[in-house]
Amino acid sequence: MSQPPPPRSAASSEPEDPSTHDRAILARPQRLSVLGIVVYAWEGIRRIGNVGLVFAILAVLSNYIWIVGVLAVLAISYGLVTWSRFLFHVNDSDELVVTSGVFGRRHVSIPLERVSAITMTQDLAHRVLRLVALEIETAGSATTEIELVAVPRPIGEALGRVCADEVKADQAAKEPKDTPSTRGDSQIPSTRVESAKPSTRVESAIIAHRTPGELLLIGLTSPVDLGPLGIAGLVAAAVSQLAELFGVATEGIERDLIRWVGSRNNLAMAVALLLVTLFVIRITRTIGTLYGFTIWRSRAGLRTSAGLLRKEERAAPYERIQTCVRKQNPMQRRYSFSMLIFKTPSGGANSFARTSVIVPGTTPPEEAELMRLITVGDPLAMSRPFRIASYARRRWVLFGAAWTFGPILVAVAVISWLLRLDGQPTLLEHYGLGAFLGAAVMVIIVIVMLAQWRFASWRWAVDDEFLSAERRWFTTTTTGMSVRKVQSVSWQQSWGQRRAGVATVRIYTAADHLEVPHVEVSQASWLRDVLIYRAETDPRPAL
Amino acid sequence: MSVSGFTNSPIDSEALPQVEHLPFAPLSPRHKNALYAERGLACAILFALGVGVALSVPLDRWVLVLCGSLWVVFAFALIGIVPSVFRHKGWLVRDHDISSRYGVFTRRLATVPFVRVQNVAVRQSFFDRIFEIATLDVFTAGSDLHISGLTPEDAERLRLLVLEKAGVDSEALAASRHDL
Repeated sequence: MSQPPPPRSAASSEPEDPSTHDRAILARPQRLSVLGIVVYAWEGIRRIGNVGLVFAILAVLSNYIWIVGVLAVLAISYGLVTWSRFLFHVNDSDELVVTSGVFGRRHVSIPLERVSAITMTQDLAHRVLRLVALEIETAGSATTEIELVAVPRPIGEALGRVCADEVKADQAAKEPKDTPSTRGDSQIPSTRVESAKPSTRVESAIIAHRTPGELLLIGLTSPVDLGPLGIAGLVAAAVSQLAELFGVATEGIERDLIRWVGSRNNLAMAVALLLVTLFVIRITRTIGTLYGFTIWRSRAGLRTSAGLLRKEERAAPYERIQTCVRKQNPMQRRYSFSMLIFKTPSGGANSFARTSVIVPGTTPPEEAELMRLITVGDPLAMSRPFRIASYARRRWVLFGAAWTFGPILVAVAVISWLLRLDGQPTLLEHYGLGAFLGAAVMVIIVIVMLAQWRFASWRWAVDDEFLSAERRWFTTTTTGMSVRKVQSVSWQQSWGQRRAGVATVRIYTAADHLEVPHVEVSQASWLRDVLIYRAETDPRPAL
Repeated sequence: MSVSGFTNSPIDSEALPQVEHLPFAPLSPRHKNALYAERGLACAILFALGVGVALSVPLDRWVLVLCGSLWVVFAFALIGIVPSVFRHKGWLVRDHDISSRYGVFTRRLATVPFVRVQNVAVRQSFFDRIFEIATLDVFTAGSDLHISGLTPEDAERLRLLVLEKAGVDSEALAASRHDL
């Protein structure tokens, strides 16, 4: 994908001693921008909630407009007081210190080297006033530790640079001069390790930029989220057309639907229109949220910037990246690009998206460059992969059949019972046993084929540096992690797995976990022990 | 091989200790009583709710018989499985890690290296206090490990041991970084 000139924020000439300059402007305790008053006032209104909103509407309708005025004054007062009591600075111990609270005071100190990700967003008001909102994350909490709702952009960028410097200094202090991977004294094959190029991290440079045309292609090749309405409409249209094809009389909901829209063709047209609308919304959203997407390397780590109305910038120090995920569907494979996700430590499962750097439309050369930056090899490459045990196929057929036929049988039984109570023939009597058996055989064939497809696509690999796994459903998902980042390992066996002599190994990092299912017991045991051994003995920092 | 604290010898997969074959320490027998009490109370609450519904809503006789039978099966299964639950629980401390195993139908074994420990906690629920047992929580930056049904003394000893080991292992790794 194309590479335009670097944006001002990435390529502008930096001060001679940027670190000293950055620290100087952050050392003084300071308030947020005055826009913070509006943000906090709006937060106050939101805290009143829907009940307050209904109350306000009722007050307006009852000609008690002054009540709304009082509420507005209260909200602005809340915003003003909250804003005036909020102070932040970076102290001599390299901690970001935030003091806030109107009645009770709250002091939060975060050592800068513990910051795992910084998200910088700009709403329309922020962009007009040249401000940014900063969300600062560490691995310690499920929620955002510190949120600076409106600060001047230079302050936000300075904070990002200072954090990156601290993380880098901390990692350098922890990093041994000679790493296990470069010494080569391990017997586990090391096929994916290349020489690191830390010097490339220092210079700011654009890695990729997406033009509107490329974003259109990304939107066109992304799967459409139909939602419950879309799926229901699609099923209704398919059943309706099949019914017409086989000359089956229409009944119940379908008859009502057809009466409502006029005819079967109108129903199909309505569903087609719904699908087209969803598709257009999807593409518009993709282009809107990713407009001007740029990823560049900098002293602050990997940085991304995107957004048409709401611009969002994310920065993640290289060393904080725990796992890499590549997602690619068949259409994206056709155009040789994929989506890469770099996950950094987060305190909770729900904050993955917030603490991830996402790179849509990544081409193989871009992927190679990104991998060179964050690690000393390619965690997503699998030169000598292992397969999972064939028990997986049997299990997926069994579970697939149970999950498919169970609900259908229950639904058929309930409907038949209700029909019998109503004095009508049951579904079995209406359609005949042959139709049911034929449908069941077709469903079983589909389940077996899907299980075989899923089994054939599952593979995993481990060497002395990386662990990776790949599974293919509609989308191929490849996950890779450095074995030195492993936090803990869990090993489990269900009753069926014990009988088949297989086990599932789940490997946790600070950001995510990777599951290798249905592996032969001896292999699972070996994998777990190797990973724990690495975690216990590798001197390089894990976070 | 380095002369410092950190060594990175070749891994011989055959020589690696198989953790699941090591003797796991059993939990306090009082934990079994606590499990009986917890599950018995749950069954009693369910029974009381069922009786309340049966008295307030007119139901057919066969519905009552079906629900009663289901309750009996459920209660027997829940309480009858307690010895097996207790038997399959255990914990193990090695030189560099701590493990916990549990599960009757699906057996699970979780291992946390001491160097990854962020903090350790001991907690006692209401039932734990009645039966004088405690739960040890070992937190990492990823998943956490919990060992329930320990005696409070064992839990406290383990807490101190894990903290000490975490400190020693971390210091050894830090020393190896500087020596290399």
